[in-house]
Amino acid sequence: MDIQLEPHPARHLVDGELVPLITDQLMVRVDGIQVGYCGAAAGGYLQFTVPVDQATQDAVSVHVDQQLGGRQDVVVILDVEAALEVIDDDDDNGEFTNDDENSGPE
Amino acid sequence: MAMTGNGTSIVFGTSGWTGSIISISGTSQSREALEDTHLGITGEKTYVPDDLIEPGEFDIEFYWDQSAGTFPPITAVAETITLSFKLKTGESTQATLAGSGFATESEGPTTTNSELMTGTMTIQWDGKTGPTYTAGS
Repeated sequence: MDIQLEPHPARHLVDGELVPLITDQLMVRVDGIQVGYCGAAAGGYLQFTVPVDQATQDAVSVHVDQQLGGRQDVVVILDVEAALEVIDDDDDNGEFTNDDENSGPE
Repeated sequence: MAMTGNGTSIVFGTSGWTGSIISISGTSQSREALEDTHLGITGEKTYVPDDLIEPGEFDIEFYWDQSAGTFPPITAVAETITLSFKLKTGESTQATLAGSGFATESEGPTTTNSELMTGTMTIQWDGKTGPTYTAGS
């Protein structure tokens, strides 16, 4: 797995030249593809902008910590699909609800 | 080729807040039209653009995660904010809208059965860095 830290991709024009706009964050690439951002110094956050598996997440985290000489907390985005599964389970748990009040035996 | 907003993400560089985003509104920027009509003008009034631009604001709606270690940064100082658009086929670097800004409004979730909790936030670009759109590549 090839992990690279590069300048943040945002650019703006200064004296006719495109130069980096954001200097307090770096872009993270895995095997050439952008996967997120991290702080430019230790103590920041490693944030993924595309879905990555746990092994990739862990490998990037270790690499970033080593390159920047300190810990970067990894921010994990809520797994919405898992939350939806919990709701589906609740709907099917057989408990009596207000919706059932008018559906007694005929 | 036009694409949907699917895959767009947002990160806050200093507070570390991010979330499962449902929608991000467009940033609306504006500038004044200054009237420069004078007595020698006939026909229509004339205008010139103001030098300064309102950097604008935008709204986001997101799923509320009560397990998250960080929350919408309504108390945070201005920080780097990056919206990243989904990669198109053949791209390896995401298109971005990036700059510095801060939250001006944050609303927590309404709690009810059988619905996912959501929150909303309004972000003001502060105009000191960006906001600047950079194409993907």
